[in-house]
Amino acid sequence: MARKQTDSNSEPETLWRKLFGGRSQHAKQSDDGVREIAAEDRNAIRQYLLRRLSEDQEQIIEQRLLNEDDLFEELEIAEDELVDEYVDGRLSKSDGEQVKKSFLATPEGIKKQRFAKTLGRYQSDQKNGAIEPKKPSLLSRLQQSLARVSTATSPLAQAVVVLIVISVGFAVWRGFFYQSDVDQALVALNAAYRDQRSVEVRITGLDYAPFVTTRGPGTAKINENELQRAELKLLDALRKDPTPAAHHALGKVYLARNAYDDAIKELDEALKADPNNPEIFADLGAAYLEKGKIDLDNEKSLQEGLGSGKGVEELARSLDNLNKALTANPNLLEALFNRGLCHQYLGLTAQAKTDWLEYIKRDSLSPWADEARHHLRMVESQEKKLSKNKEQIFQEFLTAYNSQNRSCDSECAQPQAIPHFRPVLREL
Amino acid sequence: MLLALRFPFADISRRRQLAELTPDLSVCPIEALVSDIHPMKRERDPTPEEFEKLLAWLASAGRDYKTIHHRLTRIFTSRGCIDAEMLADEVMNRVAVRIDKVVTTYEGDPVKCLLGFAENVYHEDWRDRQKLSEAEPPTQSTPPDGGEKEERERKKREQEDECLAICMEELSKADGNLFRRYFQEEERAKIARKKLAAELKITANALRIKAHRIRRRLQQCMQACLAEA
Repeated sequence: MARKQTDSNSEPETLWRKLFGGRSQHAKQSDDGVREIAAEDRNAIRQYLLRRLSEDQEQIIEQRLLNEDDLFEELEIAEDELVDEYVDGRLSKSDGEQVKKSFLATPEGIKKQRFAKTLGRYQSDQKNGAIEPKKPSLLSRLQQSLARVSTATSPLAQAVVVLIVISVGFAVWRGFFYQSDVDQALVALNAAYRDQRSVEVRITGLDYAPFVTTRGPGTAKINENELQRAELKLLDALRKDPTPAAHHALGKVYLARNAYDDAIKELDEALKADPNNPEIFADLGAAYLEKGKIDLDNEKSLQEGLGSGKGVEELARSLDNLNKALTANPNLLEALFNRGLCHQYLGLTAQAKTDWLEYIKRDSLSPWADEARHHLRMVESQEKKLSKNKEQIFQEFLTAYNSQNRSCDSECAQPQAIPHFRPVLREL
Repeated sequence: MLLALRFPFADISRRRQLAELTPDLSVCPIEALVSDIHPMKRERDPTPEEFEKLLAWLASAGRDYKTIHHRLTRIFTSRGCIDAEMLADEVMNRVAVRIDKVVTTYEGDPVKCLLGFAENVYHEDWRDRQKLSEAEPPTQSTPPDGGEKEERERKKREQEDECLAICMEELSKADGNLFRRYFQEEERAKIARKKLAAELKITANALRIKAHRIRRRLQQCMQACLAEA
């Protein structure tokens, strides 16, 4: 049987006392968890790294390095300090050579050296006032964080992180890149009316295009393919999932197609499921407005007195919906624009003027604002005409009144012409 | 035997003498010493059973395999070994394949036994490197590469600066502040460190340890960042 070997724990300690002036003191622990080692240990580690110790001393140090956490940490700190001194040129020539051919020759040492140099540049930037570090790009941060997670955490944590990344990625994709059928249809609708719009009203979410009135088969610059694509997409979307958004979008397509009854039907459906949506109210108001305009025109072309009043009724409905839209969202410019038009067609010039002024105040730069200014000028012109008419009426009233006075006897207390002018006079 | 234990990093001739003096000792660390008169030969991988026994042996003395392996690696690095991790593996393998013998014949701190193997592995590696450098032809001056090397170096530096900035931003405000104040240019650092230690009500050495812990975190962060870049 082989003889058992034993180590002699007392031997290194005796040697340590002899070499470093006493047994290494126990590390002192401060309040914040930092354990400090004795000064002689710090010195011993530095000497060890500079290869100034005898083999016996090295043996003792290495044995302790494997056993003592604090001393091992000191080894890492002392290495960093030596690297800094080497990089700054603060080591003696012999020590520098020693460091260079020992741990600075290893891949780990090379990394430490590069880090020390990078830190040196950072210090210089600080000294020169460029304290704020360069802002890294979002992509760099993400890459860096992922790299760290993939190298430093357990498989379970990595799986959790992967799940989170996938979820965030999905959310970002849904939020920024994913387009539902409804979104795609609205993009197509916008594309269809890029050069010209077919209705005077504003449809929510649609970009500006000039309104060109054509009677009969004109050469409208409308992309029929895109329009058809939008409609088919939405019909398909409604078949799969009849959401209020899909009804709303299809309502907009029909409105743009001048199919107002269909538009009103779809928008009413949308409102059933989403009864407080200001944009649906705005578009419903727009549909009634366009429909009302046509019916008013039709009624005018009929003989006086045969009109059903349908046009005015539709304009009134339009106004009601537009008011609801603006109550729900006073900043909804489409609704404000359409209400200006509605008031104008209803002959309510004062209210129309207020709406146009308000619109221009909120949106003074867009092409829609140019149209609003044009309408404002029209309203003001109407106002002047109306004012002139009122003056004429007043003059006629005075003439009638005076002539009646001249022909009337003294007992003639109530001029016969006055009741006829009474409503006009009230307005004056 | 005691001589062998106390002078594990002796030169080869001395080791040979020691080996000759102790021919009857065939286990840790003497067997390792005997083997270093031959070129380094990689040990076979231990079987799972051998490895389990190694873990149990270390655990019985309150030692953790991973910690010991990591520290052996760092010791090899401090001594300038290029492939320090491989050498630490080799030490563990050598002990593991002899574990039955070690367990029955060796009493004492496992760390000391491991160091015996480690010194042998170190010397074998050192000898191999010497042979390699002797065999290498003298380095010829490299032809100019039209500034490509400088350009690569410049880009690398930029990347390092950016990574350090990223990692600095990830530090807490207190840690970032402590790090910046501690690692200033040397002439300003001394005063700043004294002031900082007083502010934090800790000793200068406790501050040094704290600052270097932050530095280690930053360095790890930067390496991960550079690896990804």
